[in-house]
Parts: sequence; C-alpha cells; structure tokens
Amino acid sequence: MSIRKVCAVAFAGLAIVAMSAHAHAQVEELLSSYTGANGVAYMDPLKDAIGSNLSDGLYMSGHVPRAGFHARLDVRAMVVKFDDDERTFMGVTEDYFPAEFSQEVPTVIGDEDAVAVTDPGTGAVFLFPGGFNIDNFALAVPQLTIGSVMGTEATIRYIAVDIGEESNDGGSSELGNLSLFGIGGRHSISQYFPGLPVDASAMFFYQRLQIGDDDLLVAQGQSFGIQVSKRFPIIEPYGGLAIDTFDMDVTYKTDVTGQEEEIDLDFDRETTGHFTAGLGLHFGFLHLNGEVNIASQTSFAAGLGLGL
Amino acid sequence: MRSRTLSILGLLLVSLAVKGESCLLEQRKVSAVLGSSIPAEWQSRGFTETMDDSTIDAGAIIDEALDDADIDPADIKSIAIAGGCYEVVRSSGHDAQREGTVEIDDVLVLSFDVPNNQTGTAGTSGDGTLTLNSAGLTYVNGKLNTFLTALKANPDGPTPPLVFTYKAEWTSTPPPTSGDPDDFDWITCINLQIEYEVEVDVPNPL
Repeated sequence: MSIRKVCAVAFAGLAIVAMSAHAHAQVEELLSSYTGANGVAYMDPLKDAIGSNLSDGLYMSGHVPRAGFHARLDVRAMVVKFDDDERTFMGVTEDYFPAEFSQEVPTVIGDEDAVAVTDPGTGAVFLFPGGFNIDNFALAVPQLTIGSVMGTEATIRYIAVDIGEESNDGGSSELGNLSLFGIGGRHSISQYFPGLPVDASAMFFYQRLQIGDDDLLVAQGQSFGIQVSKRFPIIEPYGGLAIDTFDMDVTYKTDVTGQEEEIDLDFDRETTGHFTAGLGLHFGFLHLNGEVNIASQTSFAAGLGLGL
Repeated sequence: MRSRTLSILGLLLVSLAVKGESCLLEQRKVSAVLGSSIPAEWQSRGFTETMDDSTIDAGAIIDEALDDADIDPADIKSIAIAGGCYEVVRSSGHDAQREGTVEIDDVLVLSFDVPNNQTGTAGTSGDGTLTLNSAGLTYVNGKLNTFLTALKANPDGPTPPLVFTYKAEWTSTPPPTSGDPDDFDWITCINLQIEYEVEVDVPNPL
C-alpha cells in the first residue's frame, strides 16, 4: 500500500475539518451564478456522496449483548470514490442569457476550469464555473455506543466544527459552523433464536448534517436494517442489509438577476437499498474494522474503537 | 504479545499523524464565476415624457461586488456581459405596452418591448422582451476590460473610473393622457459575470 493510501485510511478523519475550512466556503461562491436546475445538477455528486457516507460505518458487528454494561468510543471514517460520469452535467444557460444553450460542464467535483458559451447573435458569453477536481469525498465522525438493556444498545454520533473564516477586513464569513449529529439503536434478534449460528440485530439510525449558520447545506438521513456477524477469537466478519432514505437542501444568495435573492435547492428525497460486508478485528479493548458498502454509490468505511 | 501489538499500532498512528494533513489535502485553482449586475433606474411621470437619463458609477458597483465576495483583483480573469433584465418596481398610473431602447454613452445596448407596466412586471434578454445589441455589448465589454486592466494595475489604489451615461427612450401603446398619466418606476440592468481564480485546499484522500 502506498504512503498516499495509508495516509488516506488513517486521516480521512481530517477531511471534514479540512474541507470545511476552505472548500465549503467556496461552494456558495461557485453556486452564486446558478439560480435553479443548474445548481441542483452541479451539487448532485456531493449530495450522493454525503448520503452514502452518512449511511456507512454505523456498526461493525451483529452482536448486541442481552444485558450488562458495555461502552465503546469509535472514530468512523467513510470514503466515496466518484465515478467519471459524475464529473460533468448538461448545463443550460440561465434564463437571462439571450439564447438557450446546453453544454457539458463541470459538477462540483469536476474540472477546475470554467466553460464558456457564446451567443452568436449578440456576442454575449455565459460562463459555467469549474469544480474542485476531486476523486473522492470523506467524512469522519466520533461515535459513542452504550448498552445493553434487554438486548438493546444506543449509539450517538456528533461532531461540530467552527468554520467561520476571517475575511480581509478582520470580520468573519457568514459560513458559521458545521455539525453532524446522529442517534440510533440496535436490538438483538439472535437472543430470540438461541440456536442461530450467527449474531443478528436490527438497527435504526437518524443523522443530520448542517453546514453554515444560514443553512447553506442541510442533509438528513435515516437507515433501517439488519446485521449479522460471526465472532472468532480475533476476527469477526459481518454484513448487513439496510434501507436508507436521504434528503438535502442547499440555500444561498445571489444577485445575478439584479437584486439579491435567496435560492433554495431542494433535492429529491431518495430511498436506496444498502449492502455492507466487512471485517472486524478485536484486540482486547482495541477494535478495528473495514467494510465495503454497495448502495447508490460504492463506498468504503473504516473504524477504530476503544472499549468493551 | 498483546501490549507489543498495541504499541506498534500506536507508533504507526502517531507517525502517520505527523504526515496526515499534507497527504490529505491538495491545492486547486478553481475558475469561479461571480454573478453581478449594473442596474439603472427610470421614472415616468405625466403624459408627455418619452425618455429619461441617468449616470451610473459602474466602477463603484463592481468594486462593491468584489469587496462583498472578497475577491482580489489580481485573481480576476474577465468581466463581461451575459444578459440583461428589467423590472417595474412601482406603478400607480397609466398602464400600457412600452417599446423602446436603452443606450449607454449614446451606443444602443438594449431594446425592449414590454407588455405592460404593472408593478412586478419583469423580463430578461432570454424571454424575448429584451434584446441585447451586439455593437453595444462590444462597446460595454471593451469598457469593462479597460476598467479591469486599470484595476489589476493598481489593486490597492482608488477604484478606476467607469461611469456610464444611460438614456432610455420609449413609446407607449396606448399613450398616457392628462386624465390617465404615467406614474411608474422601473429598472433595467445588464447582467455581468466576473470570472476569477480561487485557490482552495481540498481533501482528496485516495
């Protein structure tokens, strides 16, 4: 494994902070020249990536103790690799442009260069902004799991980062904070079937990601599913099936039409099936896991936890 | 054996932490586009007016837009017209179809054919009620380019002068009368797109 890939696995956790400090600040600027459908298509790969990441890494076992105290603090990192066809979309010139033209242009993850369209009748030029030219998107979040009561445990995810950025005049940007909150629980199914050769459980999880005090981006996701695993002395293969629902709103201001107006991009709510296969490693109090997730996008997650 | 394994894992994580940020972040120079506009306000009163004029400090408007977006002039690639728009912002008098032109520095830039002047009536160069004139665009874009060159040459100095003298002329169908006079305010605008380069660190871990 190259050092680059080792770094990626170990430090995906920095991504949420790193991206927030600069890239998120620029998303609103890049969107400011779009007023509707272009904005939705421009942001669509990011929506899919956030949706996939939020649904990953929620568990690393099908086992939930029937009773007794246990607690574990984990850091879970999730990475989505973008497909090439997500780098562009068919943009349409905004309605103030003299003629309607369609053009293949970058999405938020696409090439950095802007694309220009010229109206031959008037010579007016419309520019579609470039993207961040990224191949993948990572999120990382700490989570705390506590149990068990009647074979049930609860998990909370939370991270909050101040991403206010100092401007040239000493003031701060309007971006504000980034926060991710999630709460859910799992209930042991295998406790009802003593002869079952694997551990099995059912899960429900809710999450909310917010970027910016002015709700630049608000995403919500729910997952409901079942997990199974088989515990050996150190290793524990696991898998799961889930139904994920996800929706996202993006709100920003533009004065491209002559007066400042607020644009609200309301992305369609999506429901997808979600298959997970992973392997956990247990070294006493230390727990490691890695998994692949197949849903609307293929994504990967890894975790490091301490506890019982 | 177990403690040794944990120690090795711990050392590995610490060593990677030192290298973490540099291997995670990559720098990009993204071509961003700031949308802005230069509006001109018009008034029509009574029943004999068929024209209005105004002087617009376009340089100050663009400079304010750049300040609001925190854009360094050195990063700007171009400023150019992408369209035009109009809107009736207030009307309490005669209602009529309005057809006319808007000139900047005596060069025709916009022609309009607006179905009425009721409050809120709006249109763009994309919906057929407003037409951009190519000679006018060439003239204004040339002025914008000269402004940008001066701005980049002295980014910390005063805003270079860019003042447009606007003139609007129109005919009304049916025309206003002394018993039913005009009383409305409206704006026209030229939509600008400002292309600039922004450096951003993005996570791209794989």
